[in-house]
Order: sequence, then C-alpha cells, then structure tokens
Amino acid sequence: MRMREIFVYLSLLLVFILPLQLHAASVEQVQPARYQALLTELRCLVCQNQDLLESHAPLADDLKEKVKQLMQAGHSDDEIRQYLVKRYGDFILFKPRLQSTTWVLWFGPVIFLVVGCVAAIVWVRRSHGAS
Amino acid sequence: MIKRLLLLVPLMLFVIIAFFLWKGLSCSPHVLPLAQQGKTVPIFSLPRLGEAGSVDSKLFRGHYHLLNVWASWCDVCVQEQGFLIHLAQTGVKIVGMNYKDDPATALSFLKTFGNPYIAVGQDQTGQVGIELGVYGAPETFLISPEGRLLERYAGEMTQVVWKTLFLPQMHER
Repeated sequence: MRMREIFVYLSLLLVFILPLQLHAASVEQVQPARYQALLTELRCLVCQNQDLLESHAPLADDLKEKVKQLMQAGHSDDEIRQYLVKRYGDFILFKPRLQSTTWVLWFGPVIFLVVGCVAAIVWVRRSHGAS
Repeated sequence: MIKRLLLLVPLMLFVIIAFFLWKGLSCSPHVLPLAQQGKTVPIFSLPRLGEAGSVDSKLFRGHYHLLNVWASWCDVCVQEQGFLIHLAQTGVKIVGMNYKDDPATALSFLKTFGNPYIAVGQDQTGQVGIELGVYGAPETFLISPEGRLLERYAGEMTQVVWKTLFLPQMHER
C-alpha cells in the first residue's frame, strides 16, 4: 500500500512538472535561426575579427546572454542592435549602419566609379573629336 | 588651362583620401571610444565585497570619482594597484568594481596588493559591465560630480594617463 502511494504521488508530480519544463524552453531553442543570425552580425570586442557566435571570450558569453535576455523580453532585432550600440558604439556591428557619418563609406566607391567612367567617356570623345 | 587643372582633381582626391587612410593606420581598433561619454552613469546596484550593503550609482555625486574595473585574474591590475593607492592617498576617490571574479580570491588580491578603494562592488555576471560598455579589465572611468561619464581608459592606469587624460577634465570647484 505504501509503495503504491509513493508511486502514484511521484507520477502525479512528473505529470505536473513535465509541461512546465516544455514551457520554459529558452529563446535560443525556440528561435534558433534568428538568434544565430543576430550573433553573426555582432563583433566580439575582444577577438575583434570573430563574431559572437564563434568567439569563446568571456565577454562574448556575457553579450550572448544579454541578447538572449533581450529576445526573451520581446525586443526586435533593431532594438537589440540599438541597445548594444548605445553601450559599445558602432564598432560592435560588423555592418556599419547607413547614417550621415558613413555615407561616404557606402556610396563613395560607386560615385567614384561613375565619375571615372564619365570622365573616361568624355576624354575618349574629345580625342576622337580632335582627330 | 582650366581643363589641365581639372585633370588634377582625381589626383587631389586620392591624396586627400590617402592622407586619412594613413592616419587611420595609427588608430588602434582595440581602443574603443566611450559610447556613453557625457551621459549619466547607468543606474546600478551591486553587493559590496567583503562587507554588508551595496555599491550603487547614486554614490557618484558631489565629487569627481574614478570607477576602476578590476579582477584577481587580471595581471595588469597588479601593476596599476600601486599607482591607484598613490592616487587614493592624495585624496582621489576610487570606487572599485570587481569584475567576473570570485569574492575570496578578490579579497586576498586586495590583501596582497593593497586596497585603494572607498568601496568595491561585485559584478560577478558582468551584466553591469555591459551597461557601462566595459570590454575588459583593467578599465578606469572618470565620473563627474554630477554623475556623468567623462572618460574611460582601457589599460593600466599610470601617471601619464592620469596627467594627460584624466586630470585635464577635472576642474577645480
């Protein structure tokens, strides 16, 4: 009688605990693709050519934890990036954001190419014209 | 004549850009600027090391303070301890933040190498460090009497750093 009671109570306990375990799945298990994609955009500030996904530096672990917390709290990718940039500056992002200070970086090469092509065409035309 | 001069424009542009790139070579990417410079110290509260109570951001009022991030596993921290003690003896108020460390080894570090701190908070998880933009140890922050972050130096705190970076920002009241 004793053993059976114990067995019943244990089974009941398991029945109640199991759903709780499933409910508490962490965010990186529920949204793994999003989590990993976000980590690859973020620079490990210690080993600076590595992203947070591949780095084993302690700071990388802390930042990964922070990203998980922010995802858990329901923040968007953009909000998470903003949160980190506010504390560490633009350097933590591998892709420099498009803003007034990076305008030259993003559009400079294209503009140079266009100017160069135009100059070349004008030059060739002029030479033909002269002869 | 003007056409000839126009031909020089691409060359001039190249020279200007080359100049900036050349300057860029001497910038160290490991020296991160303080992203929250000028902003108020983020609100935090940490348990004290070796005593009861807490160390929180409200502490940084009324005087200039240094916030020194250190750990017993940090070799450079040993080297700067002597200078920090000297600063403390001249009246500089230094708050310590024990970063991702074990309390027992941290306490024995202070016993061995000296204690320049008016108080030490324990950031065992490194989460308060993230709020400040800490990316390693040692780091020393200069905080104004209004509680604003003025400067952050990542590396060994020395007489040269103190004189050239911190002192000029500390104005007599």
